[in-house]
Amino acid sequence: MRINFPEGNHILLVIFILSLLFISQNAYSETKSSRVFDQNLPYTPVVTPNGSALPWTSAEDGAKVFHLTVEPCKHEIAPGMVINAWCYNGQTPGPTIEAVEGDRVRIFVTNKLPEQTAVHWHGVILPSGMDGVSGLTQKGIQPGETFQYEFTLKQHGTQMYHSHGDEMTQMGLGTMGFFIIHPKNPTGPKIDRDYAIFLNEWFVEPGTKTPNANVMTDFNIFTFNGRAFPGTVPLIAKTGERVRIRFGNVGQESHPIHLHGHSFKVVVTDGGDIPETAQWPETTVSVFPGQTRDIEFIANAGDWALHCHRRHHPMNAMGHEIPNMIGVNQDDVKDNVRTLVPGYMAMGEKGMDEMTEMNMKGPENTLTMMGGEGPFGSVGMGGMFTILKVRDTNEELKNLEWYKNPPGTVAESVNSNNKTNSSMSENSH
Amino acid sequence: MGLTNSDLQWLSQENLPDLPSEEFSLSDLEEKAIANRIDLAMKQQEIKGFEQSLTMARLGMIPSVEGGFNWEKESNGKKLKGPAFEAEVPVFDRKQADRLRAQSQIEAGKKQLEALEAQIRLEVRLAYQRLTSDRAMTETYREAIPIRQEILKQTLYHYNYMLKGVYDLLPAKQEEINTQRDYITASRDYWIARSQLEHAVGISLPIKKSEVKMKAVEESVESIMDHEYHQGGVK
Repeated sequence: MRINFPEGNHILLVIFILSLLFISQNAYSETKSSRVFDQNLPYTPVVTPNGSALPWTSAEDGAKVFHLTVEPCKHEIAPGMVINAWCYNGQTPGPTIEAVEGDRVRIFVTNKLPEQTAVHWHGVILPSGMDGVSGLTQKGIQPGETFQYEFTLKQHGTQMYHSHGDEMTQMGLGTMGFFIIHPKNPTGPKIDRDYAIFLNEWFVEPGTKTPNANVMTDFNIFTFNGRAFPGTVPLIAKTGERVRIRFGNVGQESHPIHLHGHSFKVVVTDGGDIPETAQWPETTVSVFPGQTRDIEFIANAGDWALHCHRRHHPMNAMGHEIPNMIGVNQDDVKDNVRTLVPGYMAMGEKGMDEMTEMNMKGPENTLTMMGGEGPFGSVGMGGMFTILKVRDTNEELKNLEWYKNPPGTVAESVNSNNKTNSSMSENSH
Repeated sequence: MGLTNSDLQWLSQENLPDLPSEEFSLSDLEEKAIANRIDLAMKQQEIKGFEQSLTMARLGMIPSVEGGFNWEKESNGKKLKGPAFEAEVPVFDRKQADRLRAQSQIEAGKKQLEALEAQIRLEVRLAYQRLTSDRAMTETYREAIPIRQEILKQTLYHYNYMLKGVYDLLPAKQEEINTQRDYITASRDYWIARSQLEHAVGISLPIKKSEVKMKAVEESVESIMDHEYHQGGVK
């Protein structure tokens, strides 16, 4: 393993290995995945990185039965930061519900929150009384109560579910998840890898644990499936595979999600399939609150960044009202400040990258603004950032390391003898 | 201060001593003051003097009789000698004025004594109140110091993560210094109030040493932060 995690990062490592196992079980090799596809499920199962799928059972009448419990939970944003969230089945986003067009689904929702709730099946075409809007279409689910929702899926696509009672608070604390409906009769090319990434933003005052749902604009934690980089697990694919990534957003902000190294097409919205003739190539897809967007592309080998392109979103908490120190020489004053406040370090004159090299203490339960170790040094990212790892062989996917660049394909210094980059090329291994 | 050079080589303690752990009872202090105040004792003595004057004046009502022996020598050489006798006949001067003066002086003295006693009790109460409030203030500031130090520490942590700027850090330090200064001022006021109380009570009040040590101030924030800084350091 050459993937470097922050020190003491065992939980991430465990989650990473488990998720690899999970991914490998579901969609690892082509033969295995097609066996799964052919024999067990009429679709390629969706992988929710850092998340999970909601198990279901078949009722005698043929309905698929799901159970959701909404309750307070401890949720790890990334190693070093755990928040007091409100979760479905102990996680945020909640487990991904997967079903097939035509299925009858029966969903039991138990409320273990301290206040009433309701679950709205966002974008799902259903009877009005099953829409899950507290007060409007149903009574609120009181604490301790279990409600039964039941409807037949008349569509396919990427839908969502989220709380629709005291929304601002409950969604601000994490009550949301994917509701993915696979087509009964798939058309178009077979999807080899299917990922779902829920976008969300939070405000957690540095040094505290409970997200502040009252905050409207100035968020400081941005997550893919509830995780901020370097807490996000990578997505994997084999070169040439057709990869679908589904994005969902019920937050407060829009997120232009950018994928490096690929041209993709938006193939499905929460409203349904986009006709092939209407799809146009993109490298960035904006996902607004209340929307889902499915993109598809053919994977190219490499380690590719996948991130929100708003500059502050692939970033963890930072102050937005700090003085602008770029180009400000602090040599004359830094010793004076140190006399007053020992431990003070002058920062910011040459940019903020130096932050990643300093090992300074921050507030409790707070992630550094940017971090993550890559093969060439600090990645200097946070928040909505993850890596798409595309490899040529199954062997490489099983023993996932940093991408081995073919010789001559890595940007290098031309005026320094310290050509460390070349050590990463394939030749040296 | 009239100190010679050798007396000037003082070393002050690094930290102020903590306030003594004393619990005064106000009534006890008042009784002590009544028993010990010199001005009150003086006034009592003064009244005693007036009372003696009155006694004297009263004695003056009894006619005094004086006897003696007289002799004189005339210019012609003849010597005259014989006994002398003198007696007051209290017809008009019966020492009324002396008595009245002494009596009124006693009465006035007693009233003044009452007034002085009330004044002393007032002084004791005021000094006690000042001492109590100065003590509360000192304790409040003393408790605020570690809070201010924690705020400074947390602000530095926020600064380290670029959550706050240096212009947040310096006011945090300033507030810490202000609190330290307020504590010193309040502590000074306490000792002044204590000496005023002693003055009001008329005797020195023994100091009971406090068993509670001021840990927060002993461990300065500088040492905490220097320690952490050197542990973390720069890669």
